[in-house]
Amino acid sequence: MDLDRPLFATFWNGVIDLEHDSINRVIEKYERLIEEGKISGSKCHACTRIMVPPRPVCRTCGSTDIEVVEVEGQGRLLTWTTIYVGPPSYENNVPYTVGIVELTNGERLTGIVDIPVSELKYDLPVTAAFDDERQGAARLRWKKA
Amino acid sequence: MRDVAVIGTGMTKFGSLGRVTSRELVTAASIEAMKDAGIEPKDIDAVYIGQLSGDIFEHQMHAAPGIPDYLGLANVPATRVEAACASGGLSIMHAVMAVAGGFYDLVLAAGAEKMTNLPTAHVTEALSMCADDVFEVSLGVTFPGAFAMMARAHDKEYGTNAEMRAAVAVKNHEHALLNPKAQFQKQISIDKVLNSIMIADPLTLYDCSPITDGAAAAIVVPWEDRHKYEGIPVKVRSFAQASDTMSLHDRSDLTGFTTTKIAAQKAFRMANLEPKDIDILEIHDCFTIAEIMALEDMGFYKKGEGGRAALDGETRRDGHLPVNVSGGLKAKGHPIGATGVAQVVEIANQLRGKAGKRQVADVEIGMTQNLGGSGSTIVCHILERGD
Repeated sequence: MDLDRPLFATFWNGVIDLEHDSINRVIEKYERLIEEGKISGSKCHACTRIMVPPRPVCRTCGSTDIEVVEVEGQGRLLTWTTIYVGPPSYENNVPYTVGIVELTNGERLTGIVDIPVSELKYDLPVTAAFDDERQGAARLRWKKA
Repeated sequence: MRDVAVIGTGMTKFGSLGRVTSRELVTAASIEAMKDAGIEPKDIDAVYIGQLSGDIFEHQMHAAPGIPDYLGLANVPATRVEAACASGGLSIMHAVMAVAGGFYDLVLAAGAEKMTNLPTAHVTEALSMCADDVFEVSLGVTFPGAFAMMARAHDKEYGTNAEMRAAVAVKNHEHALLNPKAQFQKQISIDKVLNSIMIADPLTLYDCSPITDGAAAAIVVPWEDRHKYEGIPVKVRSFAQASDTMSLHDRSDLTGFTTTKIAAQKAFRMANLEPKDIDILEIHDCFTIAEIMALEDMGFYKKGEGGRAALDGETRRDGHLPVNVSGGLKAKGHPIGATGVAQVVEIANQLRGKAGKRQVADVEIGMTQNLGGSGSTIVCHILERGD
């Protein structure tokens, strides 16, 4: 088995039949907004909670009346790790740092941390940026605010 | 609902086992379990197998029918259970539920993984698929990475440190010295853990469980039938399972697992027991921090006390709460699908006085905690020595 070639397709490039479509494609919407340099979440029209990343069902009230909206890409670094042994898709990037950030609206999101390790500390203010080398959700980077 | 007994156990050597398929491994573990119970293959009504991914590791899906096939039982119903690293625990739980519900009278619950066929980077990738592919894995998050982020959050909140984590690894390696089936028979020191190569900061190589081949099996029957079989029976006092979000970032607490708390509480309630009633534990120490967090989340220690307990030797084989006397995932090895079954095998053997050199004296009630993903699935069992 040649494992350097992807066995599983992640990105769909075909034509979608949208007739009778009942799917709330929150991930596709999130990734489309990432392409525009925006972070997004799902806004629940029943209880007004915004969840990041977006979800098709509200975790607070269970409503499916959900709309994907842009949110502020600023927050603070909650935790992080520098990874020295990565999967094949990141083999050429090691060591690299990933972290979990709490956004200003209280929601949390994981991303690559593009900040020198010596400057990392708990609650460091960060802002979202986007890597042109990657596709979709993988483009998210955290830089110093 | 009927009460359920475990009446036979089996396990292969864990390690790097060469050219062999997981169905051969399960066959070996099952034969040992059947001999232990004094039964023959034809007595088996159904088979469950916990397996993460024969797909990626062995280019073999549809693992379940391969087990009765190799046991000469081609028409017995067989089901593969997949719940990441909790696949084995869930295999046991489904076997227990099937017997408790009266659907079958003798079930083989097995688990197996053949991981060493692939290079480490590819194993890392395969395991990472148990996390959220879109919002974590695509961004380079690995499992050591996810647990490293939790370790850092735990350090901040409770002052846990690398030395405390290292004490977990040292203890479990020491335990494995008495387990001839363990992958590692090697004493290590705290300095060795601290100075080994960094995998995902702050976790070093010796904070991580290894890549392992192996299988384990248990025979499950109704409690009322226990005297039909050989040996001391073990009663399944309770079982419980809980799920949480796929992504770590979607949880409010990064210093532990809500799933472990819920599953443990459910298991204690079903058995009408409390943490103080448990004599021995097998905990999912995929990473050293995981053992510390689990003992806290299950209620054996207050939050922030788990690391100190390891450092003070309280969880050693000769301590007041023996944890991972088998060597744990850390030193016994972690063949993913086998792990949850092997935990039940170890507890059952300890309760029946069949644990050999590592036998802990006077243990009557034991508990397991098996974890999948970054705690997205937890399965707990409480077992008691029967009469």
